[in-house]
Amino acid sequence: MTSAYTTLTTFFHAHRTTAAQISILPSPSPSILISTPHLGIPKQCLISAFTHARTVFSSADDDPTTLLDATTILILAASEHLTAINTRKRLLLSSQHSPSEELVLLESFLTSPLPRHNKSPLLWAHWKWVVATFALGPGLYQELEVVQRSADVHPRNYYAWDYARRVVIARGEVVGEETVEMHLRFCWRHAADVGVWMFLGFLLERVRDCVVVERVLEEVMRFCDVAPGHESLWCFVRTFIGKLMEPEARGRLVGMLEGWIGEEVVGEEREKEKRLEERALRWVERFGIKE
Amino acid sequence: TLYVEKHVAYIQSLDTRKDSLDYWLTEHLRLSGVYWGLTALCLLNRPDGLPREDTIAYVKSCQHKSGGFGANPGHDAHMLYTVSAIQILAIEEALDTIDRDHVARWISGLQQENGVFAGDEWGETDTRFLYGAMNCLSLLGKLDVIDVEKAVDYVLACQNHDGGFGMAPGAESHAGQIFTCVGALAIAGKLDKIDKDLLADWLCERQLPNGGLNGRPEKLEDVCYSWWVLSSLAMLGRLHWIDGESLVRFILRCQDGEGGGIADRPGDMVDVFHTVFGVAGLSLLGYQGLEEVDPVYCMPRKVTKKIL
Repeated sequence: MTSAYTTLTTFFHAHRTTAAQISILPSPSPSILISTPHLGIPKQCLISAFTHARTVFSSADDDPTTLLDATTILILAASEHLTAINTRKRLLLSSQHSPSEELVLLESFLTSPLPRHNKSPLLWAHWKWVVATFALGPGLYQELEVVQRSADVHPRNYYAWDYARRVVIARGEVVGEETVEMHLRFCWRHAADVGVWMFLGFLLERVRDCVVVERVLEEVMRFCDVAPGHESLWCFVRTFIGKLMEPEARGRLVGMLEGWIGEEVVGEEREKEKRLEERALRWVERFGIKE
Repeated sequence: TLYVEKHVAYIQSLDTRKDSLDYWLTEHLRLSGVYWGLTALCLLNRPDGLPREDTIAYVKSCQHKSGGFGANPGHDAHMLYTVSAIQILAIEEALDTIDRDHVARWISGLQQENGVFAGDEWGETDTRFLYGAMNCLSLLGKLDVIDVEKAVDYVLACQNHDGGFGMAPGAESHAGQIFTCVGALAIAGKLDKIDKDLLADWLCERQLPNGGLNGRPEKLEDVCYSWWVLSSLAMLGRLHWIDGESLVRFILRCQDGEGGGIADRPGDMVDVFHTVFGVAGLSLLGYQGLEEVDPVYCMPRKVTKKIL
């Protein structure tokens, strides 16, 4: 019978150029399930593989392939395994490992439905380091797409959205309308995700055209009709209205909000939404820029 | 009730579980685990809960030639584990058993042009590491080896329009990052530079109807945020803005009354990370029988007062 360690390392060897979709299977599951690109690992198998990987890693064996295999499994079992990640950096720098293959493995970790890997600060920093060190240059949209897939499997993904900011900043101060539209489409499907809304705020701050900015803000505010009760949406809206808009535009949107608050509402859901709107208005009145 | 004896027993048992998988799966953060356990024991009034000589020897075995500390022997040096090392030695009154200048030099080498700190030679930067550097160096009495003004400037550049702070300029506000930024400013004596009411308002919005605190809007309550949010409010002088009583009740509900330890929320599995932050939160809230905690350092106030 093949050990879990061997099955897993063989899988990763066979998938050096396509990202895998990895998940941990609930117990009790009999064996590792493979249906490319899907890899399902029972917890027991991961533990068994980790135990062997640890022994290998602690030994004096410094054969590159062995180290790559062992560190892959260590990181799979413990996303914040700093020393395993650093070992891979050293192998990359001494040309004993391929940077593009490293990005494929990282893409697997960052976009798979695993509990920790997709939001890992170390793994996002490692991705950033590989891209920068080897000038691999995926384009803006490709990088943002990886962020989105990561955010899909892990909502409110702090390190993913910070990486998205660095990617945008590296490409200049101004953001185009198409980038905003692309992200807005993602917002509609993730109304409860504060990371998604705050990134919209980050993008809008860098849009030169205030007509576009006001249009987007109004669109988001009206969205609460179909997605009521989202505190994150209102945190984004109130901050932007209060601190980042031209006085006239702010006046128009505040007026719209006051109008809604003045209306009668029926039902628990609408009551909750109204309270969020009232709180947002109070925040703007209290903390907003005063002319 | 706080199950003091159960928590003490739970923490003391952690090092004995070398046959348990969790022990090896967390090897890469062991030194921080010891800091979390030791601090919790001190706050629970068991400062001798871990064997002093063994603990000091263990910490020293984690130090690299460079001066920095790794999470366990054989693990690479990093700011996070260096901070834990210094905090443990400070609590054990053993800072003189290491070469302070050596550690300080390693830390100062990690400060970047713009004032922030990297975690290690590989360059990941984050306000967590900036706070770590300030925490560590102030305990060592060596803040002068870094450019504090630049560090403060960087922190201020991380302030957002909602009053919060992120991991870098422009990053989203997050209770954990807020703790690191407010803590760094507190150590530098520059809390007057920020809008405290605005930030405290954001922090108070973290409290949920069940009394627990979350880290960002629309997230679940988590005991560790009882620390990050609460200590930030304490440093801002606005601890009373939160409903302390319902928070105490929430933290107590997160305990495991059988095996000891505290979990992120009621019914979940416990770990030493949530145990220390639950106990520290209770201490800040004035829960009877606990040692006073220092909100800037998450260490016994007795210890920090003596050193600083």
